[in-house]
Amino acid sequence: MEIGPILRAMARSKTKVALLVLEIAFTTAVVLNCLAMIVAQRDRISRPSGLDEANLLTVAIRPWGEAFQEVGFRRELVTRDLAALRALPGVAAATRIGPFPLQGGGSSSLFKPEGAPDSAKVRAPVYVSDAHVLSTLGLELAEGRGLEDGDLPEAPGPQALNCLITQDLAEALFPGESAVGKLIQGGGPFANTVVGVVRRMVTPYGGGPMESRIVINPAGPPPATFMSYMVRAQPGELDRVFGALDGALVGVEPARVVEVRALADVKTGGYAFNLFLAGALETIALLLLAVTALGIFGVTTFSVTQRTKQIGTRRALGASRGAILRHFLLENTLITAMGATLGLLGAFALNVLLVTKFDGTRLELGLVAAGLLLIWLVGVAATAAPARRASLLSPALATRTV
Amino acid sequence: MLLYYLRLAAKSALATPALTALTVGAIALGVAVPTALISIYEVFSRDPIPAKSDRLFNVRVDNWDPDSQFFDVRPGDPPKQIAYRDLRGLISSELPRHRTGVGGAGVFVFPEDEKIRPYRTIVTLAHADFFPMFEVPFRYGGGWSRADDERPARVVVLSEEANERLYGGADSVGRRIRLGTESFTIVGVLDRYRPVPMYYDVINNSMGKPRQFFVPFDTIRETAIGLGVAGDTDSWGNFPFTDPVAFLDNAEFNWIQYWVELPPERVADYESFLSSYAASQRQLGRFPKPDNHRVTPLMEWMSVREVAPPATRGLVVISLLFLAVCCLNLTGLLLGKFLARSGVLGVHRALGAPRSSIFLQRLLECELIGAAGGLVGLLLAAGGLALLGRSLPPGIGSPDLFGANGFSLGVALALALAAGLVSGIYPAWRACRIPPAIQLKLQ
Repeated sequence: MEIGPILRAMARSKTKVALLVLEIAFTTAVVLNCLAMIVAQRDRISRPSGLDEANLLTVAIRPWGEAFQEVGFRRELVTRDLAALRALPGVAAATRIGPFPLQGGGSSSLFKPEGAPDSAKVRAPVYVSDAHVLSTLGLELAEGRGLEDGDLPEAPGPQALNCLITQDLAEALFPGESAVGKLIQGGGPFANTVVGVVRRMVTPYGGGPMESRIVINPAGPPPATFMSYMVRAQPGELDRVFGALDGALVGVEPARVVEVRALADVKTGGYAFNLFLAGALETIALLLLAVTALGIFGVTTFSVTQRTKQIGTRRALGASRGAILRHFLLENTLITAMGATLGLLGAFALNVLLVTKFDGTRLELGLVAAGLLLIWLVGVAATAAPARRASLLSPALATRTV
Repeated sequence: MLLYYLRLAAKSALATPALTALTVGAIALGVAVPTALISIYEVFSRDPIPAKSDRLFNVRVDNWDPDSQFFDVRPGDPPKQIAYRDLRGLISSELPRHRTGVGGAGVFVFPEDEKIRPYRTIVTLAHADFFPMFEVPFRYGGGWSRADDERPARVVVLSEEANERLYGGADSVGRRIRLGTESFTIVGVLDRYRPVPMYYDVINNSMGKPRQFFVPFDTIRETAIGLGVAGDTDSWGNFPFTDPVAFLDNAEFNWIQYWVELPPERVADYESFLSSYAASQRQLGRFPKPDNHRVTPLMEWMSVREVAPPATRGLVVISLLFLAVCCLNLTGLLLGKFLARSGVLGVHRALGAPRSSIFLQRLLECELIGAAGGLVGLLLAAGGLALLGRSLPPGIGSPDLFGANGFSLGVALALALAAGLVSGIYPAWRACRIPPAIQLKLQ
């Protein structure tokens, strides 16, 4: 095609071309890295947690009454609380659980198969809950059974318990075999028996494989200072249940403060920094593409004005509208290609810096290709209007003012 | 001369208002993003107590399990906090000028005023030295004494916020307030105090406000009061939790940050004290790992704990590249602008203006545009920070922490002037190379 004239036209305005190429190169380098980090952060936030996030509420209770010093009172209160919660219209299930999943961090411990060397220890977050944990959180059982009322210990303190673990923890501790019935040892002197395996549960805990290696232990009597429940609302009933929880619990026992939050809000807190990072990167990437598009638009508009006469002449000599349009789009594609090639090198250099020094994300080929396509499309979009204007110039222009 | 140049530059800038507005906009946008992000980074990485940060040290000793690396620290580092037992061991050293443990405990507050409902809060457990050591400002009264630490006395220091809430801001020193089951005498009320970051407790509350109440550390041993350890805790070993005091005194249960104030030249002495302490513990069957203590200067401790997450530095780098792209755009715009005025510049040259003065005038024009862009950019950054502050969840910081200030103004202006200079040099050079003759012929 008409590469010759395009190259000659570009050679006549080296500065302009050089500026555009550099601009596109910088944009490519930055946008590709932003994309990699944005996708990594968003993936982390939106990965399935295994929980029915949309319908769950958390209830944190801080008692102050004297009666709470009595362990029997607390144990009996939990039963009354849960009965009251389950009786509320719109409630599908309720469980005692601590700490809350998705809040970020929590409590963790090291586990190994009983009798294994200490080097086999694997870190896992630990939750304590009751027989309703699976139905309330919406967790799926892969193997074995859930917790039962009989699993809950009568007295506090270390003792042998029956517990649930996630599939990922099962695979880390007992690769290639069923974990059900096996004994695992945590920090204490007693080994716990795995009675069931949960297919999937994930919670933010500073990154790493431990986030999906989770232990759910049966809860003993609650401490005097803190109790926590989770409530699963029937679909569409979340707001109604939210409003009713405080009244229902204070109605059972007034000497305490009840704090109700949607699990979605708890999760926002748990992923606060990821959300901040993703938002900042998205803003920068969008602004960058907009600025570059404006730059390309400006330069193309300018060169259309500058070359009005030449365009008219070419049209007069028989070039079709399409040929003029193609000229500008092709010119832009050439410039984008040069910029993107340079930018690709820059992107990898920048990536090395970001990954080694600033917790960046490694570039992946698929995403790089998508990013390059995006930048080319932005270039085409920015060229389209001025190029169309050029193609509409009348051939008669060539005969004027000559 | 400079004034004349400035006038010429301003006149030239105003001659093409649309182009000038565009260039100012380009600089403003380019500067706003890095200004906002650098301002955020500055908050995270501030020296919270510049007068003495080189004399304040965080102290750690290694009581951890020989078979496992503590998980939330750099490889080879001891646990991030110390156990109560080691707090008692370390506090006996007379080497530091000041020393304090910092811990958290949850307790119920029963206000005297019956209209205020009881509420649960986390109090800071500290030693008497906490207040002089961290130069905590008092509005009324003061801290407590080392003798009060020993007893421990039922004394409490209130934050400004707590005093406002409970006593409407009046001088409450000498009044009594019930925490848990016992009544405490208020000995001091803090003045406005908001260290950023909250350096003495970056593990639980790095961007938060100071707690509402401060009580002598050993109050935690008085189990009848009902204080319960709160915050980040780690433990190993099998010490049974039957008696809370026995557990505190014996378990390898780490939950305390320990601080000392030392002249830098005494650090070596203090380190040898820590070594001999570790040796004494090893004889008791504790400290299974080889001596592995740390005496970390405050600012280094901030970076060890990554108070400013590395990713925020990455954001700053990326935002500066964004500015670079804006600069490239700006170069194109300025080139167009100057060459559009080549007629006027040609006349200047023909009338005897040397190239250097054309060059300087153009650069000055770029700097004027830069300054204007910097100010507009600061406004944009302030708007962005306000939006961000409101959307940030409490874990990252409260809205009042992020905002444009004098520092942001400096950053915005410095970036804008640098951007104006960098993007203006080439166009200014081109402008001063315009041959006078051709321009005159075209007139």
